[in-house]
Formats: sequence, structure tokens, C-alpha cells
Amino acid sequence: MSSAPVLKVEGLVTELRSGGGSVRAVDDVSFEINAGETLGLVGESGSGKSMTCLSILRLIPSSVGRVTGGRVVLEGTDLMTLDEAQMRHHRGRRISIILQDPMTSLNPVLRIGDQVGEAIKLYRGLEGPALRDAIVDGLRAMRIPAPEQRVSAYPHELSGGMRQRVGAAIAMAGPPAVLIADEPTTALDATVQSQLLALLKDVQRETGLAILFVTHDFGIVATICDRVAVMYAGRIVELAPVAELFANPRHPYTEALLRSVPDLDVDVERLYSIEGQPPALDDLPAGCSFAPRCAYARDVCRERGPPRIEAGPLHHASCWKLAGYGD
Amino acid sequence: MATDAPLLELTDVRKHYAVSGGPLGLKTVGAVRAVDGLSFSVRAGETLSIVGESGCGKTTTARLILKLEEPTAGAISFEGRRLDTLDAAGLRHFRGSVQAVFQDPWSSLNPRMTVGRIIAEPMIVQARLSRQDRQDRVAELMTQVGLRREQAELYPHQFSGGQRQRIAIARALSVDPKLIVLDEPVSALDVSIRAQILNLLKDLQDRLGLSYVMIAHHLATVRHMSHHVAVMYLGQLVEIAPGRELFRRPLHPYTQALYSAALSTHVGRPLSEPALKGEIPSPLNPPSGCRFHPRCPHALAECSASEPALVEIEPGRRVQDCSCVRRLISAAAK
Amino acid sequence: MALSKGSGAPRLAAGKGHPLGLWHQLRELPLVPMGAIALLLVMAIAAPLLAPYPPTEQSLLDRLMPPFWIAGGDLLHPLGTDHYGRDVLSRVIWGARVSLSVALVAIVVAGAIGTVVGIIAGYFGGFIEIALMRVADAFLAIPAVLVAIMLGATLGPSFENVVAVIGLLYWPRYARQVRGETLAIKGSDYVKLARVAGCSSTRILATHIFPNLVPSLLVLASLQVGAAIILEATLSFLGVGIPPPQPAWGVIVEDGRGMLASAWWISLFPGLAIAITVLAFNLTGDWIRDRLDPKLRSR
Ligand SMILES: Nc1ncnc2c1ncn2[C@@H]1O[C@H](COP(=O)(O)OP(=O)(O)OP(=O)(O)O)[C@@H](O)[C@H]1O
Ligand SMILES: Nc1ncnc2c1ncn2[C@@H]1O[C@H](COP(=O)(O)OP(=O)(O)O)[C@@H](O)[C@H]1O
Ligand code: SF4
Ligand SMILES: [Mg+2]
Ligand SMILES: [Mg+2]
Repeated sequence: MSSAPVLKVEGLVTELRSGGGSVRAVDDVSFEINAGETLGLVGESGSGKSMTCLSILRLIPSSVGRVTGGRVVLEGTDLMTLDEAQMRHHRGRRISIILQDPMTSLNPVLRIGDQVGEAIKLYRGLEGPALRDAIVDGLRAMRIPAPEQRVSAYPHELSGGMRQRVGAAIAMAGPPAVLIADEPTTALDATVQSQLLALLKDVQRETGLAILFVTHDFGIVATICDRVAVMYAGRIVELAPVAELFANPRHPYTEALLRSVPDLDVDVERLYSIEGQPPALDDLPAGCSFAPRCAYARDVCRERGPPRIEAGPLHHASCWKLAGYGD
Repeated sequence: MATDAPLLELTDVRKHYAVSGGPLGLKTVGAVRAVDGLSFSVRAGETLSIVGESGCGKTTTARLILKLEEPTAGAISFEGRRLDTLDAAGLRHFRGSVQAVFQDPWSSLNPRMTVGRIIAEPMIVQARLSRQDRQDRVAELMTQVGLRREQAELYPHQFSGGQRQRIAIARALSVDPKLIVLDEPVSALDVSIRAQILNLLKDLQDRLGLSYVMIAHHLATVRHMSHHVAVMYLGQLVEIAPGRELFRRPLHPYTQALYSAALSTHVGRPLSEPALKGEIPSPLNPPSGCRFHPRCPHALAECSASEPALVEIEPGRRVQDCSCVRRLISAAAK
Repeated sequence: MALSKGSGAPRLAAGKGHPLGLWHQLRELPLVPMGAIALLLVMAIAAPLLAPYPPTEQSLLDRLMPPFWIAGGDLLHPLGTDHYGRDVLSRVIWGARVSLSVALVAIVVAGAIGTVVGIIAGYFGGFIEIALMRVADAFLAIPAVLVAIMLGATLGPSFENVVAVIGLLYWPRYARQVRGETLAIKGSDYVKLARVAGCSSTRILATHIFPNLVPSLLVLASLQVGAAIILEATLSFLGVGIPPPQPAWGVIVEDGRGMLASAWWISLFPGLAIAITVLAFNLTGDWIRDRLDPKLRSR
């Protein structure tokens, strides 16, 4: 792991249109990822994980909302200051994404070889036989069996796992320095999922790729991530190295979440359960967003936003409990 | 709790869907063998979970048990009576005894009915209780599943996914069923909500002596919830065993693959890519012999020749009798 | 493991609707088109009270008077008179009654036939479905206006015949839409659960399928009212629809056809009435459709 982060996100804020006003789907999000490192981004649905990804890539449609603050520094360049043409140059080439639904992220009427080829041609300027070889190599690198024959297949002829590999081949065409993976295995069977995860890890080992891996599955986090950021209602409430997070979760939400997931090797009589449900973004409670569900909440939590506390090297959490409730 | 006579029993159940083809789509060109020779039973107060990859026939099995579809062959009995020969009164009794909760909380509730009506409908159809008593029962059920009784007048879109799943559970409970079929009851829910629903289901089972047939993908959840676990592959059982036993010592190579693909929440457990080759073949043309042999890391020539039978190797534990399983068992015996 | 669907799923814990919510909804109503429809309905229902003269009363002394703002016009006949001296305003008002009732009755007839056919085809499937849908397709392939004219000419002009012709030509659209939606609803989990609960087919059709068809039926109906009014006007204009002297709008337009250059007001005002009515129903239909489509709803 090199020490200079390839991707550095600072104070990212994204506001979405909602009714007459706007809501903050991403609220002051900061993290960095080094080359060869995987940062997990976990949280429940609607917590803003996908919005964070799209904001980094500047892919939020203006009808939906816009990034209103913060910096996204990719290899020294602040993406937020680029014009659209310059942004297009980076997008896909240096930073790319694979999405959850392998069916909708591919064009159903184009052969997969052409789709991979389009990306390779655009990013690497290859033509003719060189391009054809690069396509086959790209598919082979994603361990698609018999790539020479598969180039002429259409997406619907492939299984979900194979489609996701094609998506990965396109994403890796650059090849990029940073790969954002937004729940790429959620729609897949466990056996296919672990094949894809192993593949991503191998690619990372070979290329030094930095990965932002979005998921809500702590099994994936424990297995492939180096560090984890936990999101709740648009904010990162805790960020820690993965072993540290599992052994010593500091934020009450992380702690409760970890205890609520059954484990394959441990028997519990009853699962710990977090009562209530995540808040709606247009109706966030004052103070800490987690306060209505938090077992440790006190008055101050319901009044003022919690401070960010450094809980150890590379470990921080935002919670009043850790700050001694402000005494 | 558990009595000896099974509550639900499936004997060599098959469900084949005709696949039409030809220029006009009028010719039958083959059959999808969605379920192909299933036998298992569930006793009162027990949970049997079915696991397996997508498309292996879990939901089809659920629909057969619920008598939403008729099996192509084989028999399903509930409380000792075959479902295909039930008379009107028998069918009515069956409908009042077996209920279901499905995966998708968004399509499980009629959007144009109030929650009170939704929960009361099974009672109305079964002509149970008077109108006033029904209302009281709805209120009681809502409290039981953690909703407020005032919410009976609301419509489904006014609830979150977790709350909708509670509504679906309350409805299922309304006729005091003996068996509830749960098809991925928490897959569509948020992580922080799943534990709420799983705890609720377990509490209800303890309190009411319910039996569950549960379909799920998350093995840790399955282990937590089940007394017995059945592993399905391409429409057949490859292994069925008491939950703890199955996870302590998975015998069939497919069970082992599923187990090793399940990601533990223990940091540092290395990512073990299951030794599976390729992906699940089409149920239209299942492989000969052992259906798992093309993907099996231990496959021998004989595996493609003859179809292995499910044999009982311990009380309550059955596994497909193929060469590698036999080797495993004899190795363990030494 | 999948995420819960519909990221913007409404999360409402309490029972009461937000007071502001209602106000927002009211403000979003298409007030102008709905107002126009309300006005038309009032005209149709209260025609005897609103119209200054009976619609067929002739006054040969007041023939071909222009609207009041033109020299020679008079406030006694605000929109002028026709060549028999009949008051155009009165005829347009009475015309609302005739034209709207033809269109509405015809749409109800078409909707009823189409819904029954569509539900049967969608719910029971099999050979019945194939047969019914082939018939519907055949009807859809027919050029509506031509057939309407031929039928109208064969049956002769009368209210019942116009209703029958329009009903016959328009039911297949309902049948197709209803069949498709019935299929989708039938496949939904709540219908499966209704069967698990022991509901009969009749009960499932009545309490689960039909109520969920209503909103889109309303959309289609409001869009088709416009089309039906135009078809009725066309038939009446061609003399095979509502028999004169009954003041259907199409009949009035036809009355003025020979005098478009000199007495344009005879045809213009009923023509405007047709245009406004069709537009109002279409806009309202569009609005209902947008409201029903959740993708369009979240702005
Ligand atoms: N009505 C049908 N007609 C034809 N084939 C069907 C039908 N229903 C199911 N199948 C096929 O039967 C097989 C088993 O389907 P089933 O829905 O039971 O799978 P499953 O195990 O529940 O999968 P998942 O985990 O994705 O829910 C699949 O190959 C499916 O395509
Ligand atoms: N296209 C969209 N239009 C409006 N709001 C959206 C859209 N997509 C997502 N949102 C809202 O943004 C918030 C964050 O969503 P998202 O980033 O998709 O969450 P996650 O990926 O963590 O599940 C949610 O409140 C969601 O409702
Ligand atoms: S700030 Fe207070 S309410 Fe929020 S997580 Fe910490 S203790 Fe709980
Ligand atoms: Mg997302
Ligand atoms: Mg299923």
C-alpha cells in the first residue's frame, strides 16, 4: 500500500430535490483510499451509499439534485473543478464503476464484445486486430470462459454472474486507478458472489487498484475490505480498519448492527434487534440522526449533532457517548 | 412440542413445466424440471429451511405446498390427508391451516385495501368470528406483531418494508394456522430490520407452536432459524439434516460449496472460492447421473452414469449416496 | 439479499395525513381543464335552465343574426342565430347535453364490454384468451371512422345507434389494457396470498383485481371521451349520427357548413365547444395518468 491516497473525498455534500425544497442525501462525507486498498462503505438502503458513488463520478442528473460542497481529489486532480469534457476524460479511464444490476448496466442490443471494445477503443485508442485481441484479453482477465466465442454473445444469453464479469471487463478497460463497486454481488448467488469477489481481489493484487466497495453485507466487509466506513442517514458515522471495527465498534449504530446479524459459527438464542426504522431524509431528527433508535441517547444527542471523536489510529466515530456527552 | 406424525409430508413430488417452441409457439419442445422428486416431511413446531442457488426450485416447492399449483407427480399430504383429493370442507380446513409470507413486501399487500381489511381477509373468507370480534382480533394481531391498532385504517403505501412484512405476518396468523411457508421473508428488508422480523417469527413459533417451511439464502440466518435444513440442487434434494449437524459437517460436495461460499463475519477468515466449476445448468436439460457432477470437484466417471439415491445415514439425516460422500463418511468413521 | 425496493418509499408512521400534503395536492390539480369539464357538465345537466331559448325554436325574423359584438348583433342572441333563426348559444348548450351523453354512454358501454372481455381473457387464460384477443385485434385493425360511417348509414341515424357504433369500435382498447393489467395483478403476490387464504375466483376478481384496474380504466376512459366526442361529431356532421334537428355539436357544425364565409358563427361555436371538451378531457386524463405513474410522480 502506497501512502499517498489515490482518491480523497473531503466534505462531500449532495442535495437532492424533494417536494418544494431539498434534502441532503450525502452530508459531509470524507474518506480516502490508497492504491491496492479496499474501503467498504456499508449502510442500509437509502443511507446514501449510491448517491456518494454517483457524486464522486459527477453522475447525478440535474433533475435529481447536485453536489453542493466538498472536493473529490483523484490522483491529485479535484474532479469538482473540471468542466464536463475534462470530467469525461477521467470517468471510465481513471475511475470507473460497476453497478448492482448486471442486466440494466449492459446494452441489451449490442454484443458484449462490442461493448467491451467501445470502452477499450475510447480509453486506449486501439483499433483493428489489436483491439480484437484486447477485447478477448479483457474478457479472459475477468475469467470469462471461452472468451473468443463469447465476444459475439448478447447480454441476455449470459448468466447474472457472467454479465457482472462483462461489466467488470468494461470497468477495467482504462485501466482505472479507482474502481467503485456499488453492490455488484447483491443480485448474485453466494457461490457466484464469492467467485466474483475472488476475481476482484486478484485483479487488485495485480494492478494495485483502489476499490470503494459498497455493500450492506458484513460478511463481504469482513472478507475483502481493509477499512470500513459506516453510513447512516447520509453521514459517515464511523470509519475504522476492518479488524478494529469488528473487534471494537465504537458507534452505537455499528455496534447494534453487528450484533443483529446472525453468524455462521456462533449460536445465539435471540438476535439483538435495533427497534424503529431509519429516518426519512426530509424528516431527520435534530441532533444525532440515530438518537431515536439509540440505546445510549441522552438529551444532548437530541439537541446537537455529535462531534467526531478519534477512537484510535485511523479510527473515528461521531457520537456524543464517546465525547462523554459533552461534559 | 414435536409429535411423531409429520404435519406436512412430500413424497417424490415433481413439477414439470412444459416449454413451448416452434414457429407459432404451439409445440411442446421440452419440460423445465423445476421440482424433480422431492421427499421430506415437517413436524409440528419445527422449522425446515430450504437452501440452494437461484432457480433450483425452492419457490416452486413453496407454491406446491401452498396448493397454488398441482404437482405433475407425487403426493403432498397435510395432517395425513393428500392435498389432491381434498373435498370442499377439507380444502377449507387446509386453507385455514397453511398460510404464507412472501419475499417482496411491496407486492404482497393489495394497495387498495386498508391494512385492517388485509389482515381480516382470511378470517372473512373462512367465515370466522363476527364482524366485531374480527375487529378485535385484528387489533390484537397488530399489537402482537408490533404495529399500533390505530394503523388499521391506513393503506400499505404508508408503511415501510419492515412494517409491511409485519402486516403480512399478522394476516398469516389471523386464522391460527399450523404451518406458515416463508419464502425469503427478510431478503428484501434492511439489515437493521431483519433481526426484528426474525425475532418476531421465532417468538411466534415458541408461543403458538407454529411450523415453518422457510426459504432463505443467508446460511447464518438459516442456521439461526431452523431445526432441519434441506439443500436443493436442480429440483432435487442433495442433503437434508438437522441444522447444526449440516453446518458442523456438510457432507455433500454441493453443501460444502454453499457453506464455503457463505461469508463469515469473522475478519481474517480467508475468502475461499468454492471449488465449484461454472454455474448452475439449465433445469431444461439436467445432467445425467448425479446432477451436480459437471460442477463437482470430486466427480468420477461413475457420477455421470447413475442417479444417486437419497439414503439415511443418521437419524434425520439423508444425503445423496454418491462415491465421494461415501468416502467422506467412511473416512470420518475411522 | 436485496435492498428494499423503491428508494423513496414513503415512511409514514402516524395515522394522519400531513395538512400541507392535501394543499399541495389541491394545488397540483389541473384546475382549468377540470373546471371546463365541470362547466360542461353543468351545461349538459341544466341546459333547460341555462339556455335562453329552446334549442329547436325557430324565429324566421331573427335569421342569421351575428354575435352581439358585431354590427347587426343583439344581446338577445349573444352568439347569433342560424338560418332558421335558432339561437346558437342555446343550441351549443343543449348540444353539450346531447354530445356528452352520447360520448359518456358510449364509453361506459365500451368500457363495460372491454373490461369484462379483458378480465375473462386475462384471468382465465388458455383458449378463451386467445380467441377473445384475436377478435379484439381484428376490431382494432378496422379503420374506425369508415366502419362507423358504414354502420351509421346502415342502421340509420339515432342516439342508440351512435352509442352502439362507438361502443362496438372502442371496447377492444379496454379489453387489451384490462387483459394486460389483469395478467400482471394475477401474478402479484397479493393475489397468490388471497388464494392461500381460500378466496374464490369471484372474490379475487371483485376485491383484488377489479379495484386495481379502476384507476387506469378512468385514465383510458377520460382520454377516450374526447375521441368519442369527435367520432360522434364526425358521424353527426356526415348525417349518419344524431338526427337533426337535435342539437348535437356535429349537427350544428354541419348546419353552418354551407355558410362558413358569411355566417361563420354557426359552425365556429360548436366547433370550439368540441375542441375545448376534447382538450379538457385529454388534459385531465394525462394528469390522472401522471399521478398514477410513480416514476413521473416524484419530481
Ligand atoms: N411457471 C413457470 N413456467 C416455466 N418455468 C418455471 C415456472 N416457474 C418456475 N419455473 C422454472 O423452474 C425453476 C425453479 O424456479 P423457482 O422459482 O422455484 O426457483 P427458486 O429456487 O425459488 O429461485 P430463487 O432463489 O431465484 O427464488 C426455474 O428454472 C424457473 O425458471
Ligand atoms: N433518482 C433519485 N431521485 C430522487 N431521490 C433519490 C434518487 N435516488 C436516490 N434518491 C434518494 O437519495 C437517498 C440516498 O439514496 P441512495 O444513495 O440510493 O442510497 P443507498 O445506495 O445507500 O441505498 C435516498 O433517500 C433516496 O430516496
Ligand atoms: S450521539 Fe447519542 S444518540 Fe447518537 S449514536 Fe451517540 S449516543 Fe447514540
Ligand atoms: Mg444503492
Ligand atoms: Mg424463489
